[in-house]
Amino acid sequence: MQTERLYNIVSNLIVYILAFALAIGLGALIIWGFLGINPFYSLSLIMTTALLSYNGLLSTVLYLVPLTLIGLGLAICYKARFWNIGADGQMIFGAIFTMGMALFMTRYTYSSLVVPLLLVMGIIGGAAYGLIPAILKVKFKVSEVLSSLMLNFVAIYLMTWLVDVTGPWKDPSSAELQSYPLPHTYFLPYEYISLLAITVVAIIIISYLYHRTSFGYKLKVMSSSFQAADYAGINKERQFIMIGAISGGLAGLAGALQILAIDHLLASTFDGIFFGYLGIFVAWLAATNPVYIIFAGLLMGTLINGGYFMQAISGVSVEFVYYFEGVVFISIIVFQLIKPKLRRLLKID
Amino acid sequence: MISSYTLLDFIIAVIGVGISYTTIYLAASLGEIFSEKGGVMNLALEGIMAMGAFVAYGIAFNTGNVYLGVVAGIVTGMMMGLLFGFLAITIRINQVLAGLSVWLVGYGISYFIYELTYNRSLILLHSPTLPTVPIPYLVSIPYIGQALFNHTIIDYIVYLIVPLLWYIMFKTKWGLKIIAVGENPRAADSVGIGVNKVRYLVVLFGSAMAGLAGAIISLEVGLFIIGITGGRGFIAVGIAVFSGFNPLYGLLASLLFGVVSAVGPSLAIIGIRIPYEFLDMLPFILLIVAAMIIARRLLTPSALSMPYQRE
Repeated sequence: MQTERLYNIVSNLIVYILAFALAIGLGALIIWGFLGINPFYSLSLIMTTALLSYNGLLSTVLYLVPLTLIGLGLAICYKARFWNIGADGQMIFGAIFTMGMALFMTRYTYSSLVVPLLLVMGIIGGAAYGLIPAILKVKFKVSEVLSSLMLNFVAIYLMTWLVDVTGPWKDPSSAELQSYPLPHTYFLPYEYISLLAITVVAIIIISYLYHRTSFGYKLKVMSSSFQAADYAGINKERQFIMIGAISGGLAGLAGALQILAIDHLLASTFDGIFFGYLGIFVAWLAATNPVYIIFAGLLMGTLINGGYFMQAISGVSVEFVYYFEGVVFISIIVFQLIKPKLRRLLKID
Repeated sequence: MISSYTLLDFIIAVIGVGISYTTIYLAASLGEIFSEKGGVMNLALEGIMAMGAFVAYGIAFNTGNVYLGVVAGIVTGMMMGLLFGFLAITIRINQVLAGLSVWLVGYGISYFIYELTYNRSLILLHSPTLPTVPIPYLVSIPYIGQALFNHTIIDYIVYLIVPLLWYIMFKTKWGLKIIAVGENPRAADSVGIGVNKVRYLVVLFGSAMAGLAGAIISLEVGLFIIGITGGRGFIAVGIAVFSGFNPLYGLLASLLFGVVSAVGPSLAIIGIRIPYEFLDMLPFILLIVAAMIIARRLLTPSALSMPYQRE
């Protein structure tokens, strides 16, 4: 039993390392092909500067936190086979609620006591937006894949309008499409520590929900089969609504943290790297286990950080990162394929 | 207030702009209707369209031949379709996941290579555009003649294949096989239909149509710019669902969404300024509302999104 577990971890590790190498290799290759930058040089630069240096690790944290929070929420959705792909919109809505409340509060006070309120506003915004696909599914039988995807675009356009040239939140003193900045007192204090602490607390709460509450029990029954859930008398509708609110709330929290700790304003480029879609892969990688999520988030965060770094050294446009993200997913998926073969090689079965 | 003169202008603009939107939605959603009918939901459409648009633009720019560009767009679409099919049909990973990864690859690679190749200076490089072919007599109908009957050959072809595709799906053996694979792959397999072969074929067809839609987008204006697909691939997936997977209803749904998407640009033509974000939002909101109305009556293929594995 113990050795099998060890073998499992080892084969997983090998798969991810190979996938990681393939993705970085393909990224370096395309830069080499188009710009003639030596791929080994760019690879070594990525390893030493972007991934293993102090600053590199810090910037990885900035990707790790939203990816983990969103992945946590989506893991719950996928456990119940609720195919929510709207974390992107939910994150944006959380950011909009946070920013709106912050702009409103600056009329009355600059006290940093407002920060917890702003975080709660983010959770409320995300949860409200996450409720929509759940309610549409329960009341109107609308496929959540469709509705949550469409809502992502609605959220993006709403955000763009808010900070557009004629938009209500546009900072006229800035040439960029962005809102008024937050006052310094509203920044999240001790940003890196607070970010990690909030993430860990979220993981603990969700693990508790999984293992110690009737919500988690029902989730387990639903994940094995809907029929079993029906026999057990579980109210699937209510469960879907709760799942929608919880996963939306987590994505909204990620949006609020992005505003309060990192961006300090709402810009039209907010969520330029599609955290919501990356979170889907984080949830899938972790096989919906809440504790593995942080490792999956770490892996994905590191890769994205590496991709950003490749983009920066080669001077190509940010679209390179999307290409890179897609390559990462596909290489991880493809290497999942060889896992059974690997297990046979290691003589586990 | 809007005078009657500008109202007329507005209606004509909506028809003209709407038709060109409709063609793009129609091409992409016809392909998606077939692949969903066969049980494969292809969410990669947006990325495939971006790739098709970019390659079509590049080939047309370098060779000077638009139709070569269109063919290149279709072939590119099919290659992306092979990648998606490999993930979703052969490896059998979750179709949402496969679709989103292929979307990101196509979206990223097309815009990023465009930046590296054709976008090195501030000048936009124009490729040749698809020539419009007015239909004799019909085009001289007052007001709507120009808007309805002065389009490109590719546009006409897209509309003309609608009844053909309807016939293939509901009146031929091929269509029966596709429906069988989408409804009950196990039963289809037991009577000797190659489930994965049929699925590959519908996915390839769907991706080819998405590549064509992309080619229409870029070659209509002879330009490729970052973000040119603007979510239209995802709207096409929604239209396919909204049409109940029937090519004829697909035409009606594409028309509806084409007109709705045209309202924004047409208002700008006659000089009324509403924040464009709200107008761009419209098709997405309409899709959700439409889904609310019809979802209960919708007959989704039973094996949609279910990979098939022989036991």
